[in-house]
Amino acid sequence: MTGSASQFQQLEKLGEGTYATVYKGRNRATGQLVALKEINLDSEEGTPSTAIREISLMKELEYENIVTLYDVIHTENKLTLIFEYMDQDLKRYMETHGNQGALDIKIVKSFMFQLLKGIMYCHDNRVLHRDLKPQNLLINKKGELKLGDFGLARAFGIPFNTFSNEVVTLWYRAPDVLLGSRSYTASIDIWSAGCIFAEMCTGKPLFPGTANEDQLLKIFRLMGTPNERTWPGVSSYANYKSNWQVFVPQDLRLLIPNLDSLGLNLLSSLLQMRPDARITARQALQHPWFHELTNPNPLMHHLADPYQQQQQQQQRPQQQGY
Amino acid sequence: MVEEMSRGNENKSDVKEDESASKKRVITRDDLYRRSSQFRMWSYTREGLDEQKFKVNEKGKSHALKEFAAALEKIRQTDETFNQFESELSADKLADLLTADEEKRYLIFYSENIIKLTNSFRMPTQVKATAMSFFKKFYLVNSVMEYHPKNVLYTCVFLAAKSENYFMSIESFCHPLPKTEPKDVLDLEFLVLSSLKFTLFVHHPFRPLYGFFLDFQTVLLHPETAIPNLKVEALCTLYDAAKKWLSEHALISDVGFLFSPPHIALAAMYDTNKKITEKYLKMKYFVSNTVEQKQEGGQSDNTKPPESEINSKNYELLLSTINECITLIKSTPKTTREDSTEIDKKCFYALNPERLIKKRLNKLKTAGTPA
Repeated sequence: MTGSASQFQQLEKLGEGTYATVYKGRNRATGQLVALKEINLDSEEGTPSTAIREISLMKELEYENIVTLYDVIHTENKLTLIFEYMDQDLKRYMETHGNQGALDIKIVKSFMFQLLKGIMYCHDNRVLHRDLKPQNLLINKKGELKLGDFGLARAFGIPFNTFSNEVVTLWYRAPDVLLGSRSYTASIDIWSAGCIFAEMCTGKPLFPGTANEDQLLKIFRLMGTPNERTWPGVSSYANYKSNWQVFVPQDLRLLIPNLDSLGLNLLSSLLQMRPDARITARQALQHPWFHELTNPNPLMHHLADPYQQQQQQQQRPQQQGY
Repeated sequence: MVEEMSRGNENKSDVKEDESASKKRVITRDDLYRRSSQFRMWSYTREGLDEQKFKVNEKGKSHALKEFAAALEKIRQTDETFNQFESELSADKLADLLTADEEKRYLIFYSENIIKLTNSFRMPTQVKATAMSFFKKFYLVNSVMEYHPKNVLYTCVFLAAKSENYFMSIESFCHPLPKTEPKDVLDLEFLVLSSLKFTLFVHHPFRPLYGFFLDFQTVLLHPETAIPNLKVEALCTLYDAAKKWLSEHALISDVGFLFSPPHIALAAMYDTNKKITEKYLKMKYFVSNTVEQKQEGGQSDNTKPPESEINSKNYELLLSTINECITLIKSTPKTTREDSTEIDKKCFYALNPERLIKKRLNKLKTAGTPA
């Protein structure tokens, strides 16, 4: 069933996506809040292929940690995707709720768990997100985190040749991709998850590179410069250079003092330089760091549930009904 | 994969029961397929599919009759000779609408055009197969008496190319098409998208076919050859022939609505080389399968029939599904050009009733006033 544009009242602008503008909207009939993603229809190409791809994948992905696509509406020269409304993206959430951006570890744990669940669901369904970053992770008042913006996502299964390496915002881009790998695998989303994990703990992006080479060097400075011994085959990547400055791996503990050793262990499993050494989303969810979430002890319940604490702090009436 | 397949595509009612069990198990490829929009929204039983086509044809006819009535009204008001001939101009006497069978044959003709068109653009098989799927789905929702297949076909191909990441500008797409402007193709995009209910992800039999090709090698050649003198070249030949079989026979048929992609892939292999495929399936059901099950289950349940009995039953079930699939694919009728031209005329007048009425009116006028 297809709705009409007049069904929704357009409210304030929420942001610019990869190929569209997103507004807050309200369903006039039900009062339900939605996110309206407006895509201009190009007379050159018609419906942009990014939109086609996003619609195609979102229709296959129905999961609690993935934002829901309700409907698609067509008006003369625009296509509007109607998404489930989320209050904030993770970037804004960190700015407004964090201590100079850094989040409470309990909240980090809850968000990481949900992020990895969303990633696992995508990977199970043979979909790579390819553009995970705080701006694409959406948070609602219930403390739920959902993956959004699948404009750059791809179905995988058959190795595909990428047509550009303009995927994944530089900061969250895996070293193998930066080195010129063209056979993307699920592990690129895992690297991004690792970067986001660290950023939630510290409030600062882990590797804020300015260009491809700078991005690599920022990674090497912390993780060590790779060589054939630490990463067999690294020298055969297109962007490999033999004259890089040699850094030795640093202790992540120094960078993130507020994270316990189990958490640090998980982080380093996500941030493995070699793509095949990186943990999978499914394995990560079974990591002991999450045990208090996966096996909650009822006596500890008030400690283990970051949503409740957060809501008490906010003292705001919760919006219901959508 | 094979072991899960005996269940077939049609028994959707099983899905709910399976869900709770599947939470504990590793997610199988079969579960993944059952989650897909293709299975949830575009899988039919044979009766269900026929019923859907019948419904669409009825919808098309009633649409055409409405259009006819509107055209008649318009002519009544603009042509002063109308009243004189009114009795000769009723829908009963004039409108000759497509039957469900004619609509079906007409669509087969256009489906063949999709293959010709995508071949002429040298589009990959994936694009070709997706375009075909879009086109077939569109006409499970709409009738040719509502939308003429010519432009819908072009839009389906153009959208399929985008959906499968095969980039092509609208100009270069339209360039070789007769009397077609970019606008003709693009204007229908949303209509096609919404008719598809925005489900654009299509699972084809080509990928499972490749998976089977690899597994045939594992099962039939290692550690020793299961068939005397079987060489890997024979399996390559089988794979190529099966791929061709899918493009030539399966694509144009309706099996995509009725069977899962791995079933169709196996049907292609079975019909191409019965001996090898049968041996492979027997090995899967009666040799390697027992090993896997022992590893998985452990405890044996006394209330269940012995494993070998279940396997024989599943094997027979799978073979009958494959055979049903082959029969269906091979019984897809070919539509001749003459046949299609005939239907095409009917379709044109169903879509343009004004032309039909005027043509008849002019004939009546030249024949003179009725006595």
